[in-house]
Amino acid sequence: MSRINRARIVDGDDTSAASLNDRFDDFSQANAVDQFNLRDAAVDLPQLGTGFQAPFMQSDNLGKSDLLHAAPVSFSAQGSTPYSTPHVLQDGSANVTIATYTGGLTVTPSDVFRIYWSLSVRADIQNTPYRQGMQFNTIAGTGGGGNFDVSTSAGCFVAWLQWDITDAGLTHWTEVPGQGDFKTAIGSYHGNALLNCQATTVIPLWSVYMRNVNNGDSSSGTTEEATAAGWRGVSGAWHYVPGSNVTVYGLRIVALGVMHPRRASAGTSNALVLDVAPASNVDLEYTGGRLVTFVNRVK
Amino acid sequence: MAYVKPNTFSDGTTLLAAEVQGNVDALRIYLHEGIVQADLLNSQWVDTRHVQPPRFDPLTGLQHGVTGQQGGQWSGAFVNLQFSTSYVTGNGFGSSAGDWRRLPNTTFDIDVRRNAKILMHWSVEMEGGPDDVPAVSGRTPAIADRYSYVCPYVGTMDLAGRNNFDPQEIKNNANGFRSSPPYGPDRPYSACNGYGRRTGVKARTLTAGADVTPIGLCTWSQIDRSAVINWSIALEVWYL
Repeated sequence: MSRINRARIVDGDDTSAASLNDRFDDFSQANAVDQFNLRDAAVDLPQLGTGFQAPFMQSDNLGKSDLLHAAPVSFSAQGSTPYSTPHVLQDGSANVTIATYTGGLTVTPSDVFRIYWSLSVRADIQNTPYRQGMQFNTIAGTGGGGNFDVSTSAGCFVAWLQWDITDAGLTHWTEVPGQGDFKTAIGSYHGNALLNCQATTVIPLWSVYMRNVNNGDSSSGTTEEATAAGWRGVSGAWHYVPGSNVTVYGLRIVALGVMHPRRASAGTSNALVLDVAPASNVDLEYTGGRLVTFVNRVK
Repeated sequence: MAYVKPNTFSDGTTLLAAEVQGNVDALRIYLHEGIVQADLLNSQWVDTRHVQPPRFDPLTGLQHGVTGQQGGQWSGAFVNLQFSTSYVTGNGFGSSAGDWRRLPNTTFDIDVRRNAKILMHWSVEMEGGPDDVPAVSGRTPAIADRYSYVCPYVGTMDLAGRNNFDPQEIKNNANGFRSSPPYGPDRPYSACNGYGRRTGVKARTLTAGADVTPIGLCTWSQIDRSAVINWSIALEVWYL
């Protein structure tokens, strides 16, 4: 019997001699001063307190383990707008790679829900998608080089976070708070105002630039150069404090492209919009990544 | 001497405050100065890590023995350039195991005093190549297919401490060097070509041990030389 483990006296208890004696005799047992009644309560350090501040952590694999990119997962750019469904990250064998939480993970207003993710990606482009729907800057030519149209290189894919907070069936995926689904009509496009991209990672696709320029002007010998983005790691983060308890059953990363930025006109917001023009010439490949879930209790 | 209560109570007798107080007073004396060896559990139940205070290492900016944010390191206000190079790692062509080496300066040695959750945040900004040394079949990848990888590790750099889902790549600036002025890389370092900033978070559960645990960044390169021009690491340790 542990000494301090004796229940407190509460209303309704009988006060008997035996009960009172036991409370003093508790201190008379040999070998009974131990970790429970001394170390954890008195000697131990509060900064090593158990689990209160970080009650939950989980790390899940995303995509496919393929360090040398031997056979990456590939998916195509969207050819219609608004799109139907985004691409859900998978392992290359048509199995989606998502985070699930047994019985649901309840996040309270006293918690900070912290999500981090990463993924290795590569743009697979053919022909000249940077000339299809993308914005150009015209560089004036001198010395016989002529004018050059140089893309802003702003074509990109986006990857963002969805969750299921309905049930463990994982059929009710929605965007997390602060994140839109890129289906809002923006001019003749569909996309998200940047305000609604709070759980979005942008994946660049190419660089287009002039080579052999002469003090900033194109001249004889100047050429347009285009470089597709090679393999690269991309990452993202999202933090959330719910207003009331939320039970999370799953988290996943979905991806969509080709996007490009859309500059705000008066009264509108800057946005990322889906551009279907280059769709037939762009695929996105990916291999492995991580999805980290961490819950901090802050009050 | 062991605690012996001065007063024992019996049913049917008057409970006197003085007797209760006498027991309490005796207990107070016992707890202050009377605990003897026989009263203690006869096995080790307090370890050093339970009674030693937290420790702060000003050179590494790292705290040991505190839950929460433990410390961080970065390339600093002065040049603290690091390198990832196949001269050290071997090119590892054809082998997913690779030949990983620690990225200098980017490792914590953390004294974990109880089982803990850890989050390691990291970032690197790197320029890869140009490496235009001709490829050798079966030994080195094609020039355009060379990458430098950066990966977090915990404890060891084998697959027990490192995971193939964690590495992130920087591409070789693949077009080599100019052969006429201005000399230098033939193509610019762009976000799509030989340059990039990579960030990640590594989550692990650590078991308290007698020794410190290294947590940091390792690298494996297929490029002959890549400059890690900026980097940072930060560590959170949350005791379970």
